[in-house]
Amino acid sequence: MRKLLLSLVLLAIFHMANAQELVVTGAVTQKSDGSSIPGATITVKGTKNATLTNKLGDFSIKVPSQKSVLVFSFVGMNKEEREVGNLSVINVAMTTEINALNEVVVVGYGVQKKVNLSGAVASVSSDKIEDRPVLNVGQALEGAVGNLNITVGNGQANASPSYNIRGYGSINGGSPLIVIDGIVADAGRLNDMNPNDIANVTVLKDASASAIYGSRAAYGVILITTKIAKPGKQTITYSNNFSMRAPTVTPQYLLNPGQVAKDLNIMATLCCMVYDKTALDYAASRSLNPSLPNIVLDPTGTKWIGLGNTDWYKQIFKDYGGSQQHNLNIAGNSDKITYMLSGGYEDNNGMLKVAADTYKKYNFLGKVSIKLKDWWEISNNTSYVKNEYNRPYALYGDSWFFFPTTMGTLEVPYTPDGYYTSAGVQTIGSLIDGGRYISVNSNYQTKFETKIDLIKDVLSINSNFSYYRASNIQRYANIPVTYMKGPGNQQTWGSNATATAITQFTDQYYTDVYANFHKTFAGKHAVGATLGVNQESSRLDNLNVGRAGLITPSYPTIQLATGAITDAESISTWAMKSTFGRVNYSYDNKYILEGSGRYDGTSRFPSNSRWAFNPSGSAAWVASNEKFFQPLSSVISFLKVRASYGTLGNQNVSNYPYLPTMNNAQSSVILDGSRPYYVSSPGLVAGNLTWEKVTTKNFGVDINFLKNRLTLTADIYNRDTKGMLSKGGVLPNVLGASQPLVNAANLTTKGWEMMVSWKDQVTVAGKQLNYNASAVLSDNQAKITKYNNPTGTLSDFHVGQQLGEIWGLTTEGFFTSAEDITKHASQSAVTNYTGVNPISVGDLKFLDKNNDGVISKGKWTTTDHGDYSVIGNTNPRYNFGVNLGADWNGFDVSMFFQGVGKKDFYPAADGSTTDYTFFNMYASPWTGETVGFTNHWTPTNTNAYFPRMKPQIAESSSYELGIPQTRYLQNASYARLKNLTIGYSVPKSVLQKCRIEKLRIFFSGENLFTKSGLVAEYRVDPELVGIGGGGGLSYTLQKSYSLGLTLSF
Amino acid sequence: MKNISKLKSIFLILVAVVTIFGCTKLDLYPETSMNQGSFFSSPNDLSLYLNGLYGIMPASMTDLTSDNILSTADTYEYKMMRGEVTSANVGSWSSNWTTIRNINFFLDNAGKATGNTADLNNYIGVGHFFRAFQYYEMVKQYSDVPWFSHVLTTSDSLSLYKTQTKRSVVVDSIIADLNFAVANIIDGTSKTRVTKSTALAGLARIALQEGTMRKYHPELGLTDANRFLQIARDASSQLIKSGKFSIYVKNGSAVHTKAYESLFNSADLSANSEMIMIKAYDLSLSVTTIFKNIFNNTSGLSRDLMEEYLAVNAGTAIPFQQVAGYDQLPFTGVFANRDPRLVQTFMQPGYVAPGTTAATIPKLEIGYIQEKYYPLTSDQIQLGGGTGYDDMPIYRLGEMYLIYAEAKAELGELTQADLDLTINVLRDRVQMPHAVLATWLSTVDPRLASHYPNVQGTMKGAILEIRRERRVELACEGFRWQDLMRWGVGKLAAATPQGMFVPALGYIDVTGDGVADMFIGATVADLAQVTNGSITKYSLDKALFSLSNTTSGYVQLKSQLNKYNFIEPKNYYKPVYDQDILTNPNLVQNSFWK
Repeated sequence: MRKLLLSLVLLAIFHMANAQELVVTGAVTQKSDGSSIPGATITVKGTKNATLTNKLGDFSIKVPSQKSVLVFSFVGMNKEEREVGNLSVINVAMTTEINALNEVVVVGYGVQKKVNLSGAVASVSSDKIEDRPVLNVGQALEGAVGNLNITVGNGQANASPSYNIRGYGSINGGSPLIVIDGIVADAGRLNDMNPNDIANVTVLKDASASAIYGSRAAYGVILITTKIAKPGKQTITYSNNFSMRAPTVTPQYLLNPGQVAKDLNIMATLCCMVYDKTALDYAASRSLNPSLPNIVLDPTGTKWIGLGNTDWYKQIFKDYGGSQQHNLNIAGNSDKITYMLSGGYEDNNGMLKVAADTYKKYNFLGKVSIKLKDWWEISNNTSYVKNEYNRPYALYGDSWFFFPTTMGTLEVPYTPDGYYTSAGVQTIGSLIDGGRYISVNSNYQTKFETKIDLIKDVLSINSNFSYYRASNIQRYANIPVTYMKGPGNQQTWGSNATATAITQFTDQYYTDVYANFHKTFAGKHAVGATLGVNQESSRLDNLNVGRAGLITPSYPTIQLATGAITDAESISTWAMKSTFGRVNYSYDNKYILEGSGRYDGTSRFPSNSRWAFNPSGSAAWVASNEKFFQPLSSVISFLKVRASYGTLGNQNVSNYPYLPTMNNAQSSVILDGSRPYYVSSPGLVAGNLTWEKVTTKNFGVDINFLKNRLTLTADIYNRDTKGMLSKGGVLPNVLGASQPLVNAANLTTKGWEMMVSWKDQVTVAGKQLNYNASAVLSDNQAKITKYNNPTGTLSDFHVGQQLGEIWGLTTEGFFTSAEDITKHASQSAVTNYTGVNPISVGDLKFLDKNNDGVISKGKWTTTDHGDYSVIGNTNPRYNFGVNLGADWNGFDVSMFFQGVGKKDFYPAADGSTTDYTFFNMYASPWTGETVGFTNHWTPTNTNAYFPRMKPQIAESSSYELGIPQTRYLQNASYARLKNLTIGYSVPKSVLQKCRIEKLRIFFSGENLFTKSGLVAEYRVDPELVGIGGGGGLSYTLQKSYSLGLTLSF
Repeated sequence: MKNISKLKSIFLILVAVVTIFGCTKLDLYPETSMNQGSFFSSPNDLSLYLNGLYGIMPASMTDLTSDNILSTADTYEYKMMRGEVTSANVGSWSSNWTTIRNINFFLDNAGKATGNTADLNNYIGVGHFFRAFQYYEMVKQYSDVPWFSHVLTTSDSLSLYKTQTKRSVVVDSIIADLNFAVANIIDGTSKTRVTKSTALAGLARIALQEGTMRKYHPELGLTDANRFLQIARDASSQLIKSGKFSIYVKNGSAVHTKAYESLFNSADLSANSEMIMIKAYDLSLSVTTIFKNIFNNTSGLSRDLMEEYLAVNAGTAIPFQQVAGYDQLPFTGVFANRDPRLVQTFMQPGYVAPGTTAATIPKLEIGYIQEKYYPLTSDQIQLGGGTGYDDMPIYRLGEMYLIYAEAKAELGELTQADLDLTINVLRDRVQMPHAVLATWLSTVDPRLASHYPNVQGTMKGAILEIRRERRVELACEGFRWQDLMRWGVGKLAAATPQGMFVPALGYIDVTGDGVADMFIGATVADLAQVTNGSITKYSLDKALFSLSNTTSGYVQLKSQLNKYNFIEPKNYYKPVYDQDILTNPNLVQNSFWK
């Protein structure tokens, strides 16, 4: 080795001493817009002699002879070569690189060229993420990678998307491992990141790609890499955007008091008559003359009666909200030191109208890397995130939307003298005066890293140490609010003003040391290896204190309260130790073999079963590198087939699942004047818990056509999850405790994903036009293959169950005549009423599927389910994303569509997730009547969507409309223009005079257009359907319009 | 030189790695919960564990389901009497066994504790009391249940798969538990914790129930009813004679005119002389009751209960049925000259609820509005629409009096002195004329005799009148359904419940001020004539109720009209859930449910 180096040096000296030196100068420009390229590298081919262009894109280099060849290179540009000949000035216009073959992909503990990959790996670069007016990274990644399935949650400013790779993993849950800059993190930390700091997102989908992360990577890995300084110069970049946000879809209410009061009386028949004739007449007159007072006193003069036309949705949500983001990034790269400092600020004013819900986020990221020696580099990576979410306490979650969505439009918020009404206090009053909730996260992480090149470019040792400290402080006050039931009749909503403070700290330590080896022997045998050890530990401390009896609501603090104190402390710890390794070999860039594995030990299992080894292997064949393929190469420029197989463990269990423990808690029974504490008996635990085993088989192909301009990647997989923790053999209930879970259930997930992209450039009006189009499409389905359910009851998992399946009745239509009713099978077994409301014309008619003369659930087992059958499935299928982009002469435009091809949903009527915006007055007579509801059956409108107005039939799943059924099964598929960006970059020639590197202004819009499969009667955002409260019971998602700029020096 | 420093730095890294890896442990244990070896060491630990079991002690404010109630809400009992309950849909008994496990876990481990023997035995006694209480709750439902005196493990298949233990054996074990409790629990002053008095009260209640069950249920084939009636007699007698408790009549030095009702609407009963054990509620501790359904919302009181209360005619108590035209009296007419407990249990016309200004208008379809347990403070009525914090009795001396009198009568031992010691004390509180044993025995009330046809013997008249006294005194306290069961008169619960009497359609005064405040029409169209908007209107075609003589008569819920049938003896028992038998084929289905 040393000899080699010595001879190289000697050779160089020899050359310099003897050659006749020539000087070549010139300028390097970008062909597309003619702007200069500073920092481009010019190398004399075959030597180490190199220089960089200066700020103006000019260069000067000494060359040994006229036969020398200059190589021009710059990141993202095609390499250009020029023979010097007799030229002393060489100007080069570089073109944008569209060759995908050199793409480098981040993999676990290293990087690999994409062409050499044998596992299922996909990546997204920063341009899909930055400058979008999204609330978090998850929203930007939705639809970007095949089978990276993201659930956005809702439109709240602090919403936390959840992540899934390749579908349902385990009945116990299983989510991808998230790794940020080499450190294992979690979804919360990903959502906390400043999207503009991200350089690259890589998704490891199959076992062979993720095996190096071992037992936590069974359901894939998301690797996040942050930006680093580009070589050669210092840049300062500032960017911002200002957005205007508006709800995507809002329910449409019927604001006609006369009709609503009449309809409400009908729908409330079973319980009472709500409005008498006087009130009905008044309501009708208000329909004609809306200027009449919207609230009146009842005849006794003691009670307010609202007869208004209130759209509660509009009372609560603004038409437009605002948000802004600012980012500053300073980066530099010299021989010895590379650094980047980045700061971000986001301010989102939320959509609430009457009381603010604000979110502020501050991001800081500092990265510095120092080359101490040419073989030794140390670096530090420190990030700090602070975010503060401040909302009304009453808006505790989607379930709060029960109040506004069930509040009738006749009700009004205020009495004539300005007090809250009963309706007003439940909706806006509790938001305005019911206390605030403030959550402050303050998270800090620092990572020290050192890299030593034992043999340059062949063998290196990396070592990381990182410390993460997260603190979360929540303070909230729950304050009762007064309202007026009638003049002088003051009442209170809520009881007992309480202040609560929760402090939570997480400390995590992460250490790893690993060696990377790469060497090519005899020009054809490329060998790579990684071997390392890793250790992690985590501790969470949580303290929760509340105190009732606030002295004054103005000081909602425990210190100024006099009532009972409730408190709780929890501490949770875990630790892992691991050894991991990977070996890959490729022969002549044709045959690729890779094997990897990890040996994990966890604190979560007893010492005799805590260690597990998870191996995997993969192979690929680059057919296009074979001689026989050459004739095809003009069409198919690249062809690789891949196959992989591996088994990983899933340790998605609680921290101490094998230890029976006794807990202390406060009793809800008063003994001798106080609520005492009590210690409870331990639960049953199994002594022989082990890991769930997840085996993935993957087959994939990568094909590039037409000089790599068209690329196709496709993968098909089968993932078997075995030994899921579930109940074992069913023990008699006299045991008196939940049976310990054992590794007893299996499921299989099958799916595929593909990505097609096209990239090219043409010349339009003398300028280069770059354009690209890409699409991803994916699918997955999961099925239970083993589960302990001997009776086959459909109330539990059962073998053969497709996850997400919806059981329901088949709707034939409406009953058309009395004869029709008597002739039809009896429906009383599925629709029993406590009141008096027999089946009548205009009611729903269900198909007697098994022809036994009654509509029933049967025994509700897999073999006897009466007239029920699987009518749909909630699992989203055919998730897709389409990306279109072009740039020309400084203008750029991009569009990103995302959607779901197939998904069913029933706006369930089980009481907890009933969507009142759909079921409306059928679910509760007091619900605000929507325009959709008016399309109900009447003797003159027999072709309606909803049945006749029959009280309470959607109140539970044992009533006609509450039963899942084909007629009201919703098609929740959608396609959505997630993002449209139009930008203009001011020409460099103009900017250079002001010493500005780059100035781009852009318009960016999110969720601008949606095509939804939902019926017109159901006005909710299709993306929210089936999540949280249902659809209507969610904080609205937003479309946004934003303007921004990017400025670099 | 260069390589030496490189080696040095690699060496340093390796040292650091070895150091760090050597330090971190994978053996991590919970820090905020205990392992079981570190607990059960002192009397205090026993007390700490028992605190978690008090939740099983119930206090009720309604007799739903029974012949005392009209209700628009459905219950298990109504479903059963409609014939809708089967062994396939009855649901598992699993929650009962969770409690038994928690108690047996305590009893298995309590012996490890060391300390003052009396203290230890006191707590162990409380554990036995809880087990007896919980097991008898199961016996009431299933009759035969498997008996376990120790906590079960997953591998204990002999016990897990055993069949039911005979009722006689289970009840003997329960009595043994209670005897242990009585012998070992210290008689403290707490009204919320289990004391020796609580154990005696529990013993008396269970023994009375078991004694009458065996006497009036020949299908059980158990002929030793008297053994239990004697236990009930002796336990209640011991409590009555202990002098520790007395009937509550005075508020300080003054006689409380509503002393009876105040047992059910007081914020704090912990100093009440009549209480043996109470369920305490406190708003500031966030321990509250939900009472709104009981009061003019989904259930109310029945005509049958109203008619049970005696009338008073010239200082003599007579059955209400002897009042002329008693069955044609409107709502405003039934309260005059009655046992004063009637108006302390039922809301009278014109009742103005605390915090409101207008008289309460009853919802006709749910009968009479219950007043017993209705709070006196308006904040309770307003809090979240029906959150209460008044304490409730669990065991009170009044019940002990009734147990004593009933046991003595059933044993054929009742004397006038017994009545003066018990029922006449309760009557004195409300200034009712005394009960006279001779009169009871000589003039049997025909209405009661038809209600309880299986009561025979020389004490017949006394037993019937004691049952009336019990129904009146303990109304709405949750005893009625079980009383009907143990007396073998389940059929009474199956009658169509009726509410107040409506003399004719048209305007009615329900507040007693002579001004109509309600209108009942035959059809919705009839309602148009009502111009006064403040009048509550019903139309028979749309209302939830009908009238017993079509356009007049007693209010009856359409949904309850002739819906119920009590099948004897089947409906005295609950079937074992099919799924429970499926997992343990050694379990036997109750013979009447096969």
